[in-house]
Amino acid sequence: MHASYSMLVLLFIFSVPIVYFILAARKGKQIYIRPIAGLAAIDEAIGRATEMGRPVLYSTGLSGLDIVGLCSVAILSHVAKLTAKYDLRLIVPVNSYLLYPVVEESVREAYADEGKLDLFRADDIVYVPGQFPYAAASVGIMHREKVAANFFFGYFAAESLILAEAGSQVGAIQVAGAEDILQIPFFITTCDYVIIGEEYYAATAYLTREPTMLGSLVGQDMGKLTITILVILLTLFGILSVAFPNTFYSNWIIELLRL
Amino acid sequence: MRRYIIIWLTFIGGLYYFLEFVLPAESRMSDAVTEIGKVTLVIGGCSFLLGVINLMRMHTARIALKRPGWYNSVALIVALFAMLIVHLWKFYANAQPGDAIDKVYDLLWNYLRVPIDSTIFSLLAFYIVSAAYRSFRIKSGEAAIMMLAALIVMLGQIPLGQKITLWLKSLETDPQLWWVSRLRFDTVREWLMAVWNGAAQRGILFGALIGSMALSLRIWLSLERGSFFDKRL
Repeated sequence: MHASYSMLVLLFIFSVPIVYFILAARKGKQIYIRPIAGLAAIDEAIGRATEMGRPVLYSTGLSGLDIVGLCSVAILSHVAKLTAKYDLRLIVPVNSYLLYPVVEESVREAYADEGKLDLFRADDIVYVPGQFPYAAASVGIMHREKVAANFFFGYFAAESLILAEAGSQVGAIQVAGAEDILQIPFFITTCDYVIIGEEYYAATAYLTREPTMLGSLVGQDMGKLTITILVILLTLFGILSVAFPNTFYSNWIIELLRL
Repeated sequence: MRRYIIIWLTFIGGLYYFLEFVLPAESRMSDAVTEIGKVTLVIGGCSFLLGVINLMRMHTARIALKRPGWYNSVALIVALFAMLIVHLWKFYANAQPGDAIDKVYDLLWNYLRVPIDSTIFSLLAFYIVSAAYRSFRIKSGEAAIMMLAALIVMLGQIPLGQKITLWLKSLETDPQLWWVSRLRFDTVREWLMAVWNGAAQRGILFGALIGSMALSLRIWLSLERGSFFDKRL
């Protein structure tokens, strides 16, 4: 598949603000981002696990070594730092063999950063191939280890409800974030906090408060603002073209986008 | 040094796929996509081995130390090697349907692994019921609206629900009451799914796609920060 001219223009429109705001933020521009309840709840869940003295489970779902998986690893790093800080056990079942070494290294690094490398257990980063074997193994871990908190961040399919419902049964506090809109309803019904849509990609910016990432978030918002304005304008234009077909001709927009 | 090598490799790899996408097909950039994609396969092969090593390390330790449930680890290792040997044997012996090794393969894969998968999948039916019970309890005005919408969608989806309001179809030709015919469960379901649900889904998708584009840009240009991306490289 190759880009059409209209795609190129849109790519440019959306990319420029992102790069511009990243560079502006690096130069010291102050940026505010709204609180995201689901991400703030990570601390709450870790706190609860600390009080209970029980392990934490972090699931990357079926994510591979792609954007969704890498974003999940970035959130995992934050969670691992917190579990290391509070001397908690962190169990991470990983489905993808490509993501597995990245996850292991990331958790090891987080424990090392907190000066708790002795607490890092390589055996707790478990490689479980296959969709339903992964679900079965994760559910087994939840029940055997009586986890106090579950984090589901990544790409999930049919196993999402199996995982989240099992976590709910063991009484774990659950925070989920998924990009796939088909799985979001399942997480909403079973988890305490869910982050949806672009909040998933905003997670690293929110957690690290790194200027580069915050700048990127503002750039994303500019992109969304552009889309919103376009949707409103095109809707108005569509309505007018139905009401006054002789004055407004709306097909040119569709023809332009097809270029 | 290692950091710069990774930054440059990431940039060059990203640049290739970016150019391959934006340049027209005549540029012949796509010709090398398959060959370049094989690099991922090679890296994947090495990572796969790491995964197997992790499994072996974890489960052999569990067996050696006789930890609780150690016999499950024995079952896992036996299953792992049995499947590996049978699959390789079948592949290199070029086994035909009906051969002994093909029957063993069928037994292990089609009559053991596949039904186990289906069993786990079927758990969903029970989990959906318990999740639905929790979510559809009417605790507030919003929950009541969701319950009503869900009820209409479910009734509009099943034949029995469609039959309940099927008689309204006869009003389609009535000049005064034609609009009542649109209040059938199946048409209201369609409207709820396409308009209300569709709008929300598109809103989420717009945000998610721009988010993924921003993250891709950050990784491609090595602007990503935080653990793993700018430390210990």
